[in-house]
Amino acid sequence: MKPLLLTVLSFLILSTYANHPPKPGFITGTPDIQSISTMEFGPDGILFIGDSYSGKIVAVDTKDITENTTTEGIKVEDLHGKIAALLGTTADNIIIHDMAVNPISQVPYLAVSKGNRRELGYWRLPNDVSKANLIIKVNSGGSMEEFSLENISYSETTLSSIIEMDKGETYRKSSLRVDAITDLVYFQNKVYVTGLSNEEFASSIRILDFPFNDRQNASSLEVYHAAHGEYETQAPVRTFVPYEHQGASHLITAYTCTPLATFPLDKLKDGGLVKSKTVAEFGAGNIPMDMIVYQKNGQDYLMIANSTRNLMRVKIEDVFNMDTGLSSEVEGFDTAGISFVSLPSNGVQQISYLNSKNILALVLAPNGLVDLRSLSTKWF
Amino acid sequence: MVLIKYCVLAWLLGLGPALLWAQQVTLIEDSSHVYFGELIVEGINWSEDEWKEMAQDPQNMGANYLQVYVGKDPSGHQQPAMWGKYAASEHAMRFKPRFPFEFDQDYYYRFKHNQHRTEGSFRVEDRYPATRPRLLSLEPKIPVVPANILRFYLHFSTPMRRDSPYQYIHLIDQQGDTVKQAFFPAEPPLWDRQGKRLTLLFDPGRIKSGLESHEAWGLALKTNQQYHLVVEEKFSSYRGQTLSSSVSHSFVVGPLDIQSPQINNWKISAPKAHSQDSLMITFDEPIDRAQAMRWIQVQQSQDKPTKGKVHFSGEGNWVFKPDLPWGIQPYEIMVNNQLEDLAGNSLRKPFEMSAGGTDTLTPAGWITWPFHPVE
Repeated sequence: MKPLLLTVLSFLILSTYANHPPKPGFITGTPDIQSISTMEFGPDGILFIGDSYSGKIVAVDTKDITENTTTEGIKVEDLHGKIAALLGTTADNIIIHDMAVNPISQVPYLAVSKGNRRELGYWRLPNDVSKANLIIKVNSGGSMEEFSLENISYSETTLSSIIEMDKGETYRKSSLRVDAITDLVYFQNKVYVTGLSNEEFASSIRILDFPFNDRQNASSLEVYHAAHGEYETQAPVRTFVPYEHQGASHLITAYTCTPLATFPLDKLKDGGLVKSKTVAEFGAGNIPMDMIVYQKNGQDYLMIANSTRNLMRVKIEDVFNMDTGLSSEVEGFDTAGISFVSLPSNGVQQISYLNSKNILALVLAPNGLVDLRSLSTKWF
Repeated sequence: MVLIKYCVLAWLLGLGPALLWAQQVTLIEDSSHVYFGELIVEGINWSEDEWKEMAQDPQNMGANYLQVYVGKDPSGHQQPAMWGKYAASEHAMRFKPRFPFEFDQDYYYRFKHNQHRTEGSFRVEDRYPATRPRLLSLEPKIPVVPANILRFYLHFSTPMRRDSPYQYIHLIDQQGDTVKQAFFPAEPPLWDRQGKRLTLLFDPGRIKSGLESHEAWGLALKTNQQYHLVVEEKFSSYRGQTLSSSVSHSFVVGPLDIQSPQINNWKISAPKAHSQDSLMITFDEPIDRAQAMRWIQVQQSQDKPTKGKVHFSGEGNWVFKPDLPWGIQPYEIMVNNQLEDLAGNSLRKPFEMSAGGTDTLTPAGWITWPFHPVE
């Protein structure tokens, strides 16, 4: 999804030393993963898997640490059709839940399920329809192979106070538990996890040390939803990125329907409630699906993939130049706050940083098929 | 064993000795067959080197000989071959798809070995009528179950949708409240290969003392209370047809069962020689029937199994009806000592026995129990 540009370089350097040593705290076996709700790469080819159903974060040592310095893109047409052929079914029975690119090898990993794609809808996300239980690697030539979760080297930790199974339904008509883990990011030796907790203010962010230990920090989040004209603590962050600005670390978060908000990490206190600053309202009727940081002409940008709105580009500088957050209602699908560029791609639901010249995206092509395509940072 | 032949004779292109070998490609559709759901090519004359390679690395070598595609004829499409596991034996090879072949879906296979080529299409006919699925039975169907019962089995009339079944199954206590996290949400869910039987496992962590969730939550079931296991109407078949109504099964919870079944207390009623009368075992307590189906067998001697059909009587007795009349010679009933009662206590050890205590145990294996048909 969105490996941080800043950390990419350090991964590359680390990778030259990596020689498959057993990692501390890792065991060999088959982790009990019930659903791959979200996944993200960390250092040394470690893939973090967030599993909303088991309430666990599983760190998997993929041993995929062969450095790849190409600046070429990757293209696979009709991704669902190709995966369907491999799994012995038809494209309408394939759902792609998430994508993460290994920053060392530039290999994309897809979280996939055999689910009924026709059940996806305006407000029905992949995790609402089925549980991803298969990881597929896309090789440079476009061929694919399964990344088996059997007998692997892994380490795991269970989130405390995760939202209960029977707590209720989302507006998308699925169990709230589906959103127990919505996104995660590895940043500065820690894993940040967003989702729903069992607390009064359910929208939470957790900070886990990595390598995992028993320590967990959990804070609740409050954000102003301009399209609803309300401060909310129940809706979870859908996607987020960490970002260093003027010596301080921040998180930039995106919520359904569609506020963009930020807060400095030093505001997070275990058990506390953090109020973030809403810097933009990108318009109602939309779920932000994915967000990455990338560079273009020496400047840092955010790219945001959406469920119903176009792919968007935001100058990160603008996020931090906005002194006062939004606090009044925005009506009628309008937008407000910092500006964004609407990029010429709709139906892009997954994006990942591939290399300095390319963003990898799942793109709905005009022929109705979904392609894996590389969006050149020269244009995008 | 029912073998459905899709391509009986190979398409032979070679001449000379090669003609002696004809490949036969079969899809195993009998669900009781050990290779159910696999495609088998028989009649392959491996050279010594080929056989060595196949035996060493069937996965990579197998894909060189046999490919299976989605569709009736892959020639017009640029699509990759299906993923699956390859295995080889002396004159045959097998392909087990990564996910089971789907009903009413066309597939195409290509086999090539030296000059021999055979190819063709097949499909797994959907033999189930397009009617609403029914919950045929729920086991164990006894009025009182132990408080530490480990499993329920749901048997459906039709293959069901495999993903996320747990959302449609609820355990309700006598106050009408849902018992939370009673079942272990195994992923993938514990369906049999046909997708008709679902194993519902009570969370073993809550049952076994000393484990975190046992200490935090305790047993899901309380002794002397009544419960309802409710299967929602929304539960659907693989075709998307739902049950016609929700189904509720009531039961009362008895005390804990921490004892292993004692085979010495089992009784057999031996059949008459030269008859096809049933052989019956009466247990000392209810046994896990799914396990008993495969872990109690009859044989005349080693490697000479006696074929027959097993069912359970209304009282829960194991009943075996031989395909052929009994002889007069002695037979053996073979019972695997891993066979469990309803609470997971096996003949070998009680469920509660910790792993540390297993050194002194009898190893897992078969118990031989001889009997003579009555003259």
